[in-house]
Amino acid sequence: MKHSLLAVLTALLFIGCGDNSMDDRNSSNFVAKDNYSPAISGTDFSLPSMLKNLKTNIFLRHAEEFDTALNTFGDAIDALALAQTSQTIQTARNNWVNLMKNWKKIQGNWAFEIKSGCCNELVEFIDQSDLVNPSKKPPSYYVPFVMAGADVRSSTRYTNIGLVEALLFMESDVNASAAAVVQDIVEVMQEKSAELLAHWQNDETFVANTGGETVDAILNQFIDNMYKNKEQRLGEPAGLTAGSGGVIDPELLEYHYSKSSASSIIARIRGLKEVYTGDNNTSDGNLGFDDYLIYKGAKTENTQILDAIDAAIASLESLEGTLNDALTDNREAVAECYAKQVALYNAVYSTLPAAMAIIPKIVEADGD
Amino acid sequence: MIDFLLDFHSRINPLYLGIALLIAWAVYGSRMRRYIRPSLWLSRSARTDYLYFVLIFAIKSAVILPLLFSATGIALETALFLEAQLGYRESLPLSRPLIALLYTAALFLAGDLSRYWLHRWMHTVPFLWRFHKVHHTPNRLTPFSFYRIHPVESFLFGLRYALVAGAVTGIFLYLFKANVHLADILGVNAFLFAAHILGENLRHSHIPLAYPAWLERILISPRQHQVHHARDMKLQNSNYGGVLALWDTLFGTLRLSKTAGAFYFGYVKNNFNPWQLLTLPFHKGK
Repeated sequence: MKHSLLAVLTALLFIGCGDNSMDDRNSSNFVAKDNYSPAISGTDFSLPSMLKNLKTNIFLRHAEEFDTALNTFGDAIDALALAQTSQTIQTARNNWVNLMKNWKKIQGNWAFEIKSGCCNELVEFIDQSDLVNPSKKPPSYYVPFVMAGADVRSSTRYTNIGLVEALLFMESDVNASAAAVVQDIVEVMQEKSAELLAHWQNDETFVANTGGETVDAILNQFIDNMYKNKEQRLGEPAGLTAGSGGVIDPELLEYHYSKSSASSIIARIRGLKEVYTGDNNTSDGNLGFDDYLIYKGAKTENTQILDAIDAAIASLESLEGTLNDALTDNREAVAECYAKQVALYNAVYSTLPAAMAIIPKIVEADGD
Repeated sequence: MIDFLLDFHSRINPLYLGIALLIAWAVYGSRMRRYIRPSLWLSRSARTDYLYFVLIFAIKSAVILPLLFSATGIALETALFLEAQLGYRESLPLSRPLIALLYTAALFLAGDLSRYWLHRWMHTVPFLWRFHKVHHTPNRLTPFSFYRIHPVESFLFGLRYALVAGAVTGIFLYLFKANVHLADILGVNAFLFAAHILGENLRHSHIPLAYPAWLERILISPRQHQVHHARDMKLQNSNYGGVLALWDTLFGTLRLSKTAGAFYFGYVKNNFNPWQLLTLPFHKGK
């Protein structure tokens, strides 16, 4: 009897400890990050509302901003085609970099896989997924052929991003023929951008589809993009991936010629963050995945994911000079950036699906 | 602890206990009285079960679960290992329901198979038997006897689950990315839920519900598990399966209910108090 009493008392002590840890996890004493506050406090989450918010406030807005930036770039290219002065060249270059930042925000958050037609065509036209591949030739290789009027699109290495980059930035000057080629590319992009815009303005299935496929597709886009960020857009050019053999090759950078690779990687991560938070850095009530996680009781995981996003951005922002230069001059800082991209990839690859109860929790350490 | 009891992952959730009782009532009718008599449910052995349940729950919450590897971490490491070996790939184009079915079935089968082997080793490896014999001490079986396991065994089974669930999930994450979902009922793996509501709690009871012989080669019946709790070592070293008897059939440890005859429960006659159960593995003797 004495032993039984002792056992019960010990048990009650342990239970007390266990309860405290649970309280910690579920308490409202959640430390919000700078400029960050989740839109919900616990129970008022709605998946259709989140998807509606993502569609209206993010996907459609990004499509509109991209379309505006594309038209501005088109005007700059038209001006460049008419007169190749230092001012028209610089304006065209600035607008190209701005356009690509807008493009990266779209690319960083958008679940293309759930839709066919215009969206996929646009992606394929602008940049293909095998953009950076050491076994293939750089865009500069194709410039002479394109300038001579050859159609090199059958080549898997050909991308319009790479080609415009090379045409506008490879030489100190840009001639009328190069501007004309870019004009052709812009014309096709404008057609596809209009389709893209119309798609998001008219599409109702995205929000209506609450069976989970939409959410899965967005998560897969997170994973796919963060993989490309860490491997193709940073690790391989920096010689940090297992397959790169330690060889540094700045030409493998996606924006090697305009030297805007770091800001483009950041733009992609920012695009991801906007979708993840439902853009609620700027206003309350915009539901995102952070709210979904809080609704699921996964505040800790939400904080981990936000920390990984912020750390990945901060590491790239702290690079001095361009990423091109840092590859050779500041290897330590680049390695740090790579480590943060790996951490972010791991967060979206496992922490996020686990928090959304895709990965089962340990529920019972049973015997038999 | 109330949360745990009401959690649908918990085998002794009132829903499962209630359904088990209904099943038994449907089969045995008025004969059920002999199985719910106070001398069974308030016996010394049963009271030890209840006390020990509180104790092991506390130890599990405070000590064992924090020590266990995270299944999430193992899933990620598995997926990254496959990615490094086989290269990155986008999600395979299978439908969401099919992926959920495959994943849920794989988790269940891998979990049940690993449970079979660990359980078998707990009996056949002398060092492990020192700990597992705690589970074979009750001479009266109640659903709470399921939780009469030594903390070391609890840790081993938890580790097993983390490794298996992590590895299976990692493989599916690699193949299907975020399209992986568990087909669940009330948050529980659908296959396990089915096992829970199909009278799994009768396994640790005196209600001798047996299945037809053909079914007992596939699914462990309550009676088969009771046979496993027999004092007779020949009977005890059989029927290691968790939900499926298929593993016992495949690996030669199956014993059908009808071949067992009469037997006593408990590997020894003695009664133990919770403290004695905790220290039992460290005492000399069988």
